[in-house]
Amino acid sequence: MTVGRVLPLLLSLLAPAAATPEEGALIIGTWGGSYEAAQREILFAPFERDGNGTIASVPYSGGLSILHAEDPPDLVDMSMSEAMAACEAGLLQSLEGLELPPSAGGIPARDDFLPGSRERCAITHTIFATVIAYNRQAFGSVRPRRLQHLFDLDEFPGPRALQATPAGNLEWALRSLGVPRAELYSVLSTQRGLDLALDQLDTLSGSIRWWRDGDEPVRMLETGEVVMASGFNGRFFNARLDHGSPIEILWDGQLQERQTWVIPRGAARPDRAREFIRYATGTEPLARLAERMAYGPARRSALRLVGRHPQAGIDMGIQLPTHPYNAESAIKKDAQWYAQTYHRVLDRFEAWRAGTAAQQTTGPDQGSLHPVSMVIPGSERRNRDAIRSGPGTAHRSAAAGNGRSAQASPARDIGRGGVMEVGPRPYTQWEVRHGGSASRATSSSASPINWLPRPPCSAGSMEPPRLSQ
Amino acid sequence: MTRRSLPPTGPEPTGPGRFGIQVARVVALGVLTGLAAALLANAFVAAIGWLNEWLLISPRARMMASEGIWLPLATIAVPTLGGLLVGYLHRWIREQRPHGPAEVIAAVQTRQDDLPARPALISGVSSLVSLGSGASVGQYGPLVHMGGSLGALLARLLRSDVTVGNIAVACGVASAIATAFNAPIAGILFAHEVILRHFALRAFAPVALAAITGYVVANAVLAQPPLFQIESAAVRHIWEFGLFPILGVASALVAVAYMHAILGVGRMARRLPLPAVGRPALAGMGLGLVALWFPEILGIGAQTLRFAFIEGAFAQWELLLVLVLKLLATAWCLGMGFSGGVFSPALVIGSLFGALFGSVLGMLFGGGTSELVVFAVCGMVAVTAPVIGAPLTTVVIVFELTGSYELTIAALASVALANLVASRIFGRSLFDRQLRDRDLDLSRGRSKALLASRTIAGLVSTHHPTAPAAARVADARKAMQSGDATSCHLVDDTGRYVGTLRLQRILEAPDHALARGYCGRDEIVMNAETTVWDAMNLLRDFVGEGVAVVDARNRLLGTVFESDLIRDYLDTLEDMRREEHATR
Repeated sequence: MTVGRVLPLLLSLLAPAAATPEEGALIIGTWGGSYEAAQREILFAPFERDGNGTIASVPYSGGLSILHAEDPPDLVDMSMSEAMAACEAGLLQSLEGLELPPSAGGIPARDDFLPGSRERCAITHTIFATVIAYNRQAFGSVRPRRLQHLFDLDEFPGPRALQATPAGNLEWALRSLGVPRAELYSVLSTQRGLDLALDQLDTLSGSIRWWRDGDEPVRMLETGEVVMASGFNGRFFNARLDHGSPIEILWDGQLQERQTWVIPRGAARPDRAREFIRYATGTEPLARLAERMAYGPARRSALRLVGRHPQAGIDMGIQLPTHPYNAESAIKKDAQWYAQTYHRVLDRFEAWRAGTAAQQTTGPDQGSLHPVSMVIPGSERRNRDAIRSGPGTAHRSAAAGNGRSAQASPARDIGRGGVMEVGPRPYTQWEVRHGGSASRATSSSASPINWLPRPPCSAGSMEPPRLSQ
Repeated sequence: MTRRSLPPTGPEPTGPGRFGIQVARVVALGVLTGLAAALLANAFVAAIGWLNEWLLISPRARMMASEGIWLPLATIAVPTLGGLLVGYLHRWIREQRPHGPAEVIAAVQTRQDDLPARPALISGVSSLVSLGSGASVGQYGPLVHMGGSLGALLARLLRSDVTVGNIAVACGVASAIATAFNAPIAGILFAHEVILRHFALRAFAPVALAAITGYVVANAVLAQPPLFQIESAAVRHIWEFGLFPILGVASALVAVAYMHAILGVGRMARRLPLPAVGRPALAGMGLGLVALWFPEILGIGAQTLRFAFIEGAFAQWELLLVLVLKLLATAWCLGMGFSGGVFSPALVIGSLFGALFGSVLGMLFGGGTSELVVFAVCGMVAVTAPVIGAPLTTVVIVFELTGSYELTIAALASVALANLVASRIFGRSLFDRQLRDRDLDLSRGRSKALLASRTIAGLVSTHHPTAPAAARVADARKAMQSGDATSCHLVDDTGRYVGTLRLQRILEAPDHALARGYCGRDEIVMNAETTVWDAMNLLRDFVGEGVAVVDARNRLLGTVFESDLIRDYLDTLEDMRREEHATR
């Protein structure tokens, strides 16, 4: 099932409301789960109360297919790189003329929004990050502090869970080689730079577990299946909040992305959609959303208003990727670059992954290595859209047929309660490969994750970390 | 060309008031020049980046361009058309070639206050076109020249004297370098080491202010990322400091090869049966063709520089190949008439050479040596310093950009011998060599250059008696008497110089005798282009009042009095000493 097939079905359910343009419910494509629940509470309900009619949502989990539907939603909550690709393809309405309200303190929107928030067809509302996190119980007193440590198997041995997309992995590989942030995308634009990044990732091959679903890295860290993982900062935050996961976020090298509001070309209620954007990008709603989701608001005035989490009561400012503490070494994802090069980069990346999979005949994660043809099933057209439109989309488009069960969004399931999934102990194999002896693996205490091997150098020796400045 | 010596403007107060005005002037000069040059420098660098994106030169733009025929087409067409435009622009400069740092050095060293704005503007635009269309040239040479010219222009507007004018030039240069590199101390050093070539206290204050202004502006308006950024590098063993001077000497040889290649292609280009206006276009086409296979040679080469710092980015043979290609591409572009600097390509070539040296050493020592980036930086510095003749500046750039003391000392160790070796084989710098080829030899010190760059044209006096060629001795005597002189020049009907008659030779001569018969046989004559340096040498064995000055057709123009010549000589040296040593 695909978005293309599901949408007409869904929309037909809403048909009575949608029959008269600008009068039926405003239809918004968004990510479901508690992310949507928060949006409903903070954005949709007050908007409805203000006499703007009702709001209905349709599931969206990335990709551009939703825009190709005969009757697309009036608004979509879309990532910037996808929005730019869609805008380029003429699938979105221009938002250039849309006047946004000033902040409560009277700062004009132009000065209040973070730089780069507005593109021709998209207005950023939040900024989320893909970060590296680790299980704090996996290492002794010496813990990973810099993104270089993701590639340091000597100091921090153990499997890593990485997202099966080029975005993030390539940037981190080059950063770990000392390429400054400002040069990342120019270096990645050369054949040599791309090869270099993949060579660096090669040094981890055999220790990589690929993930696609945003909840997977959380689970793998919790069960001890991996010791480090990349993932969406909000998921990691919620895992700690909800069930006290021993997950620590490494803010060094966080990859920041923008999440935007867009209006599809064929939207039936463009005027109300614009009115909604004006409301939803206001200072107050953005601040309240940030308090629930640990994603940074796109307005400076909203950032200043962010207070405590409504239930847990913890200060949310410091949890945001955009907090100066966390953003010091943030990598800003070059959405434009990805929008235009993604299919080539992805081809190269998948070819490399297929190559490492072939070498690694007995690798435990073989099942999760999808060649590109398997990742993106469906028609040629959708396939191309998915590849072109940005990181993560391949999977999302493929999974979109499952509606709300598609979980690749960073913006999903905030506050999801849950029981820690205790899987089988999955990695006898790497323990052997990394020299962990059976005695070390079993002689530790009863704590569920204590059996994780200690880094060899920290066993007894107090050798300082080998740190490049 | 005469030296302008305008009086300082306004009344000259004394005491604290005078001191206050002096300080205010210094501040105004430094800050104004610094501000203007910094804005210009950042705008220039930003414009290059913008053009490179737009014209599909930068790797990012090339990657983002859709595949197909457009990319290879642009790769050839853009440098070719850029070259055509550059060739056309250079027709508007008298010398038919771009101006650069050499002109700035010449203007300051010879105290001629002659850094015209027009060629600076045209050269600036043609450099922008060259760099924008992907020619393998540097961006700092044009910045130095434009900064200096801007300083000279401001000094003219402020009606300052030559010494202040020179300081203003230095301010512009310092600010441009401080802005472009984000390295104010290097900017100050460069202005002193390469442009002024002295460290007068009087120059320091405004130059420092200009550099600081540049640094502040660099981070405030159109901020540009630095050319190179190194996050970490450590020298692993103390004994490796012994290797760096060896790398330095080898790098000096690379630098000499690089400079010879530039000059050699220039000579070859002049022999080509192709008008000067078409040469850059041909160069662009050749460059574009090779870039189809080796895009590394396009543009400034920031990515190549980055790869040279990373272990394993290049195989050894690739390091050598790209090094040779980049060297040849730069020589090809500059020699064939593209406008641009030599500094950035030297950085790339040097870092590739350093990386090659380091990786060969690593092989020999079984990988026990420092990280590759240390050698790449040392090679980079040791190739660049001899090319621009600025060892201290390049070392300080490393310090300011990396903040690593260890790396700076390693760079210092590699530079220590590099400049000495290169200067023995080639000359102090490429700029000095270019000036030498234009008959301005700075290798024998500034005083010679200064005197050799001044002609006696301004000293020619017409207040000296003349007599017709057919005059009798009595007439000549009368002419001397009325002119209150001890000699007179004989001139024929057409105004041609015949000889000089000296009083001591006709004391005993009969009145009716032909004066002509008493002229000295080997009388010295000069022409308006005779330099003060040559004139002083001619006068070594001369006794008398003055020397006749004639034009190309031997017509008498006037006389240079020995006393005027000596006064000018002393004044010139005094001005130079005051510029270099006086504190106020």
